Amino acid sequence: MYTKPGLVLLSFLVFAGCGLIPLRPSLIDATATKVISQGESIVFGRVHVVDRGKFVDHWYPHVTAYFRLYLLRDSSTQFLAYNLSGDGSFYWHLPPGHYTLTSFVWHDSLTHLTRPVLAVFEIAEGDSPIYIGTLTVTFTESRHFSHRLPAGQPSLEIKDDYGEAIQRLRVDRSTQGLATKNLMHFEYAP
Amino acid sequence: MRQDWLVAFLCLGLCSCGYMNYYAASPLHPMEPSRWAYTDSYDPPVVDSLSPTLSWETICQTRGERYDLAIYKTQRVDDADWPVGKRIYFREGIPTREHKLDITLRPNQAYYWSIRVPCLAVTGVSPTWSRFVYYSNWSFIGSGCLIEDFPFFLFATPPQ
Repeated sequence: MYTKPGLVLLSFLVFAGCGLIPLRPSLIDATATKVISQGESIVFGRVHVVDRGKFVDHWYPHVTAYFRLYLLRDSSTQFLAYNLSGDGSFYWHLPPGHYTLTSFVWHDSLTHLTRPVLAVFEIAEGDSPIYIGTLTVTFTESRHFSHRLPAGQPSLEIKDDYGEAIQRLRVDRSTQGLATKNLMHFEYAP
Repeated sequence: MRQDWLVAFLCLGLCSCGYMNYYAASPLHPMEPSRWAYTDSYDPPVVDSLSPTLSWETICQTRGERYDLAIYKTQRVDDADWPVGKRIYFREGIPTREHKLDITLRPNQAYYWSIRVPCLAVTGVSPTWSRFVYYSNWSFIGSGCLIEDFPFFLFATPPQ
């Protein structure tokens, strides 16, 4: 049916879209070590992503699909990056400071979605562990054609799920006792 | 006949990527560079000054002519991510569709900028921040479009 060059061209076009984004591992994995360095605190919470009424709670980050949070500390310009995993719970080891959870990037296959968060939280010296809340990201609008990610602006909410979170911390991190609650809050009105 | 069909099929595929979609407003300055092909990931336009004048046109029905402008630092990370950084500029109630920044930006730095437009919606006025989506990478019937969905517009400053 087709000539050989035609088939080659057709195959190239079909597969041209695969893997063209040159990705490397995230800059800094805030959970790279389970040993807390001196002066650092465990900061924990959760990100709930709701897409068209359903919780997305199975994150298995790899180079072609991830939900990545970006943070800045104090006046630093060096982003800290963290890929959501599992049910979206996170346990970061961070030194004291003023942090801004600036944005997230949701990447899936060939779609790259960036949205601002701009939520701030404080880590005081000596506090550990610190609960900063559950960030709920709710997408309700349309989707990108032929792709799986949403296309609209999400609504953002910070919830206090301390009871559930402290139970998870005890199980996941074999930690006893209570945690300091210091919920993040949005830096600006929407 | 078969060749005509093949050509039409390929043209359909090639035409399916390579454009930008704007929401709420589209930027007039800095102007997007003309692109003969949309085969690469997005590169922001470079402004001509460290205190540039930004201008835009609205693409939704609006009530009144009052705009808010916000500028955030950003940088390309991992070749593909453009995380939002600190907000460094915010002006409310701009009465025209252009604004000259009254601060000096850093040279060789990328910035997000966005206009909050008083778009009319069914429920009344729905202030909406402008943003855009960049579709690149020619491929087959849209299956391989690289979609970069940005939260705001982007520009970069020139060297000093």
